[in-house]
Amino acid sequence: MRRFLWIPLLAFWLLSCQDEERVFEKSADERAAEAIADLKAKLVAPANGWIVRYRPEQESGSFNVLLNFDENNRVNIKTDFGADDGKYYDQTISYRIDNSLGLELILETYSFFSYLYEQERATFGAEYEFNYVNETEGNLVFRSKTDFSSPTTLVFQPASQDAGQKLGIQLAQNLDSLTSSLEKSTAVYKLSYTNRNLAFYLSLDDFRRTISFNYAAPKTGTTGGQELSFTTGYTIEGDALLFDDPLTGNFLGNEVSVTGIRLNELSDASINVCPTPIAISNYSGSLVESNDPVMLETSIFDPSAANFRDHVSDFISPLGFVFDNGESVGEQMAQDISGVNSLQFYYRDDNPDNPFLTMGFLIENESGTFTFALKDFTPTITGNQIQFEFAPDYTLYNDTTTTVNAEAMDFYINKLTEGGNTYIFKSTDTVYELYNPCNGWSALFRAD
Amino acid sequence: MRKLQILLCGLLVLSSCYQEEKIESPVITPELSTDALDVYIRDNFLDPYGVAVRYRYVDRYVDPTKRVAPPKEELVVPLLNFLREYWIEPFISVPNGDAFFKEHVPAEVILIGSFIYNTDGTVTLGTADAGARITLTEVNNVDDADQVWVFRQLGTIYHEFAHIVHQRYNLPPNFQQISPQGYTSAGSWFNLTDEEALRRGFVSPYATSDFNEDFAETVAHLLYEPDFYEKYINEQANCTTPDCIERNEGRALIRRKYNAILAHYEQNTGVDLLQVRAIIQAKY
Repeated sequence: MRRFLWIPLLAFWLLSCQDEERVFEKSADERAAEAIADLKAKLVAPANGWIVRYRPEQESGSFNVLLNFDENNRVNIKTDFGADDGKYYDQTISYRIDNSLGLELILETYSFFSYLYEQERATFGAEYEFNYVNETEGNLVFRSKTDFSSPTTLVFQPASQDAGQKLGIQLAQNLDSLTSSLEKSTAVYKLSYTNRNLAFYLSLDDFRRTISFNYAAPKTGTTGGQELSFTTGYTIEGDALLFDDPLTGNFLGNEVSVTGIRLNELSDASINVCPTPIAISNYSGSLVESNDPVMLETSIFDPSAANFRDHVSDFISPLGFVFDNGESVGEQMAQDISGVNSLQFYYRDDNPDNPFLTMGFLIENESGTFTFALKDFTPTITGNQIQFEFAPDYTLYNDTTTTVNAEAMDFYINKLTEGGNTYIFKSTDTVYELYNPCNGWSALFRAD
Repeated sequence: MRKLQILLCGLLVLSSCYQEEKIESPVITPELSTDALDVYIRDNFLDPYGVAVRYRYVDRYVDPTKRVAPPKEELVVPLLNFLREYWIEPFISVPNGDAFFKEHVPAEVILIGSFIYNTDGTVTLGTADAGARITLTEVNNVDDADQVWVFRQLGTIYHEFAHIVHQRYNLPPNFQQISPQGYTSAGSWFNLTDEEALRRGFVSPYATSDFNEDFAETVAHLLYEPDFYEKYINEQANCTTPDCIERNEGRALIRRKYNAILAHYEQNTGVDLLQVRAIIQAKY
């Protein structure tokens, strides 16, 4: 029996020396190069480039993006995203097609895509590396390489000659102009019906492309309103914001269905809460589908912040997040207040007999200890407007041996609160903003 | 006998395919880029120093668990000019510095536009890999008028360049014995304040993370920090409080590291770091 063991071994030896065993006609390198060249030829082929409806996350809205690739590994990217002073309206960068586990399209240098990728410490679900999937009915399908859980699928469709009209650059610029005269970070808008006594207060998240309706009220005032909690993605297309999901329901006796807002005419207006009126713009248009005439304007009233004290009581503004008309005063503050760490604002009123309502600074002493220098206040709150009446002196906590510069601290607190016209805005669930429209000073606070 | 059979089988298999097999790998000569930025890099970094500057994003240069954004093209040249002024020129201008720089400069400098974002919420400012590569971050914030950015960038460059020195020549003799009790357990350095690190004999909390980081941090602070001597070397006079005494004890430990590092560079590379520091400080 053992001698038969030699038979398969002998057969293996005889078979192992046959020449010409190549499965492919070309080497792996040659085949990879051909595949890359083939995809590149497809990318550069359309005369007007490609149009992509790009949704970075499932929960976000979408961007229309025009991509035009050339033979020299450059790609022109057009969007209606106005960040970085409009840099991403029209940008040309380098691209590369690589072959790894499959073909990949890499946008090699900074662009609209990498700007989105970097948002929220690079946790926002955008991307700038894409795996090529296939060609389907003349469209090229890519899938994001860096989303491990739910990869974004991008469909590149050949663009028509007038595809640029899908971009809403003018609309994006006009929306920016609505808030540009108010030097604050948080934008709140009021959308009023012309023919009904109804207004919605809303906010727009520019990079997520989401719109949130927070409050419905008679357009003549803010009392008697109704809190809302409706957020949907949107896409800018030409002169319209098109919603992913409609806002529907009965608000203050009005049956409403809003699928989008078409905006087309800017006009001058003013906000009259300070001794000198603040010039702003109004943007008028109509609702998509219903054609109800509406007006969009920036608002000093933020219903979502009006009840801040029900949710948040401690606010911390790190050095660098206090602004004079949009410019950080962090460096100056560090020079004026030795060892300053942050501006602090406490609103603890859950015990009416012993409220802790105070504002001031956290100071790092040279000895390594910390001092809280805080000034108590008595507030008067109307909506999201806060008037502060401060005690004359600062109270020191923790290391009470340090000497503080009360005059310098007063300067910054006064700028934020003088005139009794300080408004609080909710920027995100964890960030609030104090804003004094009469002098343009503001501070962003982390809510703890 | 059975062993002999196995041996014969092995010989059969091994010897069966040796006939007429030649290795004929084609030599590929890549075409040189004519892109203005690539030409600039070739003329100013690759040809004179043998440094390849990678500004186009390639994912294998970054740990796949990290997230980064690529550099803005228009900021690459300003960043490279900054490197020439604050990194190359100070080193090549001192005796033995030109040879030292050319011999030790890493073969690759990787430019990242953003920070390197880690999954634990921290950010990495730069990395050095086996003396062959330095990764610089925050290119998109380039602004040599912004002292905070300048110091952070210089701290990163000098820190990573110092790693190459200890990777080549080891740490100075007895460096590990200077403050052995002060090092922190893995991943906990960021719980220390600057003050606590100083009392332990370190120029920064990160320096407490291990011996190599201590070496690199001390070299970096020595080169870029204008108040290096006041903060870390010179004893505070009239010291009577326990806090002050502890800080002075920390400074005594840093002085030993400082002297060991200066001697180590002088002995192994012929470069006087104090001369390099003087050139850097004169640029502020």
